[in-house]
Amino acid sequence: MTSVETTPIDVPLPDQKAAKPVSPAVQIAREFLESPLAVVGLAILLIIILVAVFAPWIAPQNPYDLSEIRLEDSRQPPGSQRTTAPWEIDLDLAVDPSAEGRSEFTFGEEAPIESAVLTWTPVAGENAVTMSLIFNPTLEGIPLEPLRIDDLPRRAELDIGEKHNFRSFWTVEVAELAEFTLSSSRPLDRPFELELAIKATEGEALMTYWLGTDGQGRDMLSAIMYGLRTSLAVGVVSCFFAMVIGLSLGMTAAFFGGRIETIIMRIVDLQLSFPTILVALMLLAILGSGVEKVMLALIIVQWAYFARTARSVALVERSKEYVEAAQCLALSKARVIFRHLLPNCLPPIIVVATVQVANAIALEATLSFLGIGLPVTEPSLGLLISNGFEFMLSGRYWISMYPGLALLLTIIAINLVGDRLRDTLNPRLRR
Amino acid sequence: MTVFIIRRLLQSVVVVAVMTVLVFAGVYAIGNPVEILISQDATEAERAAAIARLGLDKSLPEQYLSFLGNLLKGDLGTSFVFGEPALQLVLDRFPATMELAVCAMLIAILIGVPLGLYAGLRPDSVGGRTIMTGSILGFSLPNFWQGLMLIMLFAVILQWLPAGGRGERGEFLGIESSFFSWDGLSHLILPAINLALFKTSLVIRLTRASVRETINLDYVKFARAKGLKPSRVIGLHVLKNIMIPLVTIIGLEFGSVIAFAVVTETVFAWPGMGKLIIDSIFQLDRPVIVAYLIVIVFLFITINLVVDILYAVLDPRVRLSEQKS
Amino acid sequence: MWKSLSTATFAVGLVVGAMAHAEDITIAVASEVTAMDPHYHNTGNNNQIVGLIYDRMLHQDSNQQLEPGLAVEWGPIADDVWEFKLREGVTFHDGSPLTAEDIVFSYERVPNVPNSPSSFATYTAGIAEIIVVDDYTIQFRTNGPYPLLPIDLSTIQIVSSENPDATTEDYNAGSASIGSGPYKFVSYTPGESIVLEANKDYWGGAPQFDTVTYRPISSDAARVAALLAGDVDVISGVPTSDIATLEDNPNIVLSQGVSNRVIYLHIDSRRVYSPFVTDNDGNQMFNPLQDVNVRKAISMAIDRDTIVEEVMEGIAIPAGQVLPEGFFGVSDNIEVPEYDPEGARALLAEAGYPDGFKLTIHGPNDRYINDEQIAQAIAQMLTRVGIETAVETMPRSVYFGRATGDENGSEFSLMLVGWGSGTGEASSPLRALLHTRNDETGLGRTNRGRYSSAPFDATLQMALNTVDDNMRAALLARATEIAMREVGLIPTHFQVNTWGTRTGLRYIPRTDEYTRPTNVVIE
Repeated sequence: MTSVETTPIDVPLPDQKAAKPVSPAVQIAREFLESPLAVVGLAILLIIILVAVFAPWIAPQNPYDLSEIRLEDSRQPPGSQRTTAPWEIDLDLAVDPSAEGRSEFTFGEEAPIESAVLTWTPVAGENAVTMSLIFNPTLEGIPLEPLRIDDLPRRAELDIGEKHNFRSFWTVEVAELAEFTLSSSRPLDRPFELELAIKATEGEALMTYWLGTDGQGRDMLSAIMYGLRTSLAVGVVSCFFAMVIGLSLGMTAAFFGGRIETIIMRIVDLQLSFPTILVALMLLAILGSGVEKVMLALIIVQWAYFARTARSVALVERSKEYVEAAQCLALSKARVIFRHLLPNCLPPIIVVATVQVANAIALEATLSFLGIGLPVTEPSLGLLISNGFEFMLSGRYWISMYPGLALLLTIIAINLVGDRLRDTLNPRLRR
Repeated sequence: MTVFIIRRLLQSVVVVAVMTVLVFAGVYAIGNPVEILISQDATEAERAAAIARLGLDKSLPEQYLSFLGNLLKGDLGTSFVFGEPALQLVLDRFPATMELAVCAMLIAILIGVPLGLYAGLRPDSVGGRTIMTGSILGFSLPNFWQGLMLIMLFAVILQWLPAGGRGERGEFLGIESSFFSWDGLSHLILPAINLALFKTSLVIRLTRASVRETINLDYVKFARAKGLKPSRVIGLHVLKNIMIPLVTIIGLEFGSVIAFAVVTETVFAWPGMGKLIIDSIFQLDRPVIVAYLIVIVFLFITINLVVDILYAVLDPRVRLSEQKS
Repeated sequence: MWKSLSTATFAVGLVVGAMAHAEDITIAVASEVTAMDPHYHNTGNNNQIVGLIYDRMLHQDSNQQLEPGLAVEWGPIADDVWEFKLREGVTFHDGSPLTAEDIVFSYERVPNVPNSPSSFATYTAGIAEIIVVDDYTIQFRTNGPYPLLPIDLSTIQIVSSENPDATTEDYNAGSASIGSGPYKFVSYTPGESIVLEANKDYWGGAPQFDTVTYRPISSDAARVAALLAGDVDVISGVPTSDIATLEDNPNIVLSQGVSNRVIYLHIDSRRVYSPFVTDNDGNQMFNPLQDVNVRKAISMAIDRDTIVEEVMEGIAIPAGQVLPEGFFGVSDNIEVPEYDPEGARALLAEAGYPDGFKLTIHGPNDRYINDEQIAQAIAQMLTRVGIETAVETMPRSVYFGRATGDENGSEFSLMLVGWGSGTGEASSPLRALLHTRNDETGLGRTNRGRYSSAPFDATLQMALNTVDDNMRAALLARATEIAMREVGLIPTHFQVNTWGTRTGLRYIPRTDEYTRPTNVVIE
């Protein structure tokens, strides 16, 4: 019944000398901790996992809640403040160019000035009006955005400030408003109303954007925490299901052999002969984008790795005496597979799983970068990087750089741990 | 051997059949390419006419059958977007992708093997450890991000190399390639490095692992004991033996390099097949998607076949096991 | 200002032409050309390049105003007959003379290009009969009064009738790419480059560049990098996020111009139930978007200034109608709607939705400048007035089909779309976006919200049958006013395009968004 001759030669044999009174888990843990690099990796990984899991409670902002983010705060550099809405006022300067005139404005409590006086005089013999706007107290010294004057009559011009490249408004300085002239190539015979927009630059500080904000005004720190959550979740969940499927099929192949084995392994070979990126790309082109679709695509491209490893390990284990002993006891097949064979096959599978989680995260980021991954309002790290790259050349590095570092750190940490696990669990197992 | 090759070919036919059905159904499900292609001013009648011209008014099975009929005649259909034979479009861009892939693989081998050798011979030295840690970094850096950083650094900040595109081609022995002109080479460097990084890490690790295994084998110990120079032991005995797994893996990975070129070509605007497939996916240009996949499948099958044959040539033992199974 | 700008272009073009300055130029554009056949695929991206190789009956200047092309004089001689006088002495690149025969051949070829995914047949559909009076006089009889004929004819390239059986492939290979335009075809390498050389015998004077190379670079960042690295001389579509830094770069010159493209929201305003509208508990509800006050509230809740300032980084113009100021048929009486969140909330309460409702906004993520960001910004603003809005964006390949939907209407409820007026006047967007959908006439073909208003339809119909320009402009403006009052759609902003050139060159913006060497000025 047992056919030994199919055992592949390159499958590792467990270390026989390891049979010491110390439990294997402790043994492995000890060996693992011998590498300082791996310990650092493990520590980073633990922190990352904690951050990802507890993101909703520790992030300064919920970056997915549209009512919490503010467009006005977009693209702020690291360390800038979220402030209350700044003070802002629009003055309608109604002017009747046929005669001299004067009008007064009074302002409410929130404005740092009390009143303003507008006077105007038509220039004799020309299509022009000289105007003057005096503030009380003066606006000098108050931090203001550039003042804008809009709604000029058609073909009219100002002798102060500068007209915008392609829009209708003029940008002027406060001091220039003391006296300025509006002239036109056509007769100014009708009353007109200029609009003057005054806007303070800052309000009161509410919170600090430690890592800056993105193009929508999202706090980058919060976005990275939530992004880590999405990326890790996609990686871990897809790997878990891929592992379950791969393990079951791989063990089934090993245990039953024959035609079942041939069919399963043919499919595995076929799939492994195609690069994951290509298969995932095709799948997403067909499925469309979305978290669950990305996960599905990742499961489909990954299960074969698990199946291959599971089968080769199971083949070795199956020929061992303890399995034979279990079979002699007439235990059910399921029990033999799940209680005896499975636990002994796990170590190499765990190594594959760690590597695959890292690969899955990188793959998801790549797919998002290519534009066929996750939805935009709940960005993963890959999407944050890709969204931020357009700002990179303009020097707003933080939008792309920090999520990139977070992604890099995550993958390196997982790979460091995986690398060490491979050495400790199974010194001769190769990719 | 002949039986082996025939079996492989039959397998590939099955793969192509499955692929085409999937892609057909999938692209059909996403949307109608006419919606993206047609002018916004077109009337309903013109829209219907455009749909009919592209053969999209027939049912899916009908479309598939007519595709299969044409396939037997060697016609993979006409691109919806470009109006040219899809296969021709893909093959036109094949050389650019191959150039990139070959260059990347060369870089990976030329850098990866020496570093891996060093790390394998001195696993505990500072250099060896650094190389291994570095290779983890190489694995971890997402390909697209690394490409963007390369552009930022070398093209924008330092302005040493062009940011993208394919340069002039030189001619040598009747072959036209970027390799034979300075301009072409300068355009090739960044994308090739980008594509090579991941594979370099892989080659380093593979070489190291093989060296570590071989170095403890009896014949190496024996060669040393004979008093041969270390350089000769390594150069002849060790290196020759690690060539076998190396050639296999490099061969197999060549396919994945071509696939990953999709990312590199997008980042560097390299006019190869990968760029074409991404554009085609976005424009739902089904004939091109199908043609690309068929080309890729055959490419992979050829690569696998060549690797198997090479393997047999390099390692006489393989032939024995082949007979047994 | 429009007029003076275009004369300036012309003058500079002549001066430089006279200097016969030998220069080569490389232009990077965002999308790849799909064919060199000028009648194969009607996309701006193809037209901008084939338009250099061929001439049209009439040309459109940088502001899409008609100017003489192959025709020097044109006008209606009856309500349904137009006469065109041709320019004499025009030759094709191969030296053969261009005559009425070539023009007839070109218009006849247009509807019969095999595999054409998007033909120019729309623009020849208005022609009932072409009458060749003599070698240099042509008359067109139209189906009823057809004031748009000159504009329609300005979109169709004239090819040589000496290659009656030339296929799209022949054009791509170059053997049939023989036109009469300022540049000659040299080579076309798909995905890589298109090379053109000067036609020294051009009737408008020899062009200023000896060779022109177009290179497609789809990634915005890579295109900018190519300009910074000196690989190319001119790029189109400079991303808004890079403009501030590029302005400070002494090696780069930027130029900006308003385009004919309005970005707007289509609103599902006809159906009793709308697929992406629910009450606050997520249950289906009667479609509140049927109520004009709710639509008005949505328009008031959108802070167009902030979208322009923050999302577009100042590189756009807030919009209150479908074409920017200065275009034919635009209304002077429409103001950009004021941002008024309190007013919006009050209107919603008055309409019976004091607590708002839930909505999803859909948009493309690879079509318009910052499209994905705009959709998110609008969602942010609507959420603030009580309409809890989710965002879903997708590649255009998926988006437009779903947004257009089928006879039952769009698959979406609120969608972000854009429309560029190819004709450079208001009838194009009004016909396609706001007229009641009618599959037979093609009117309202892209009316994704299914807005339908009898007074609007009547006014527009009248405009379309009015040959007198002033009358037609007034009717188009009137129709626009009706549709904006009834909030048939919500315009947000007009796209502004930015071109980048290396120092020493300057680009004169075109409203049709084309990037052409003929608009490059050497300084």
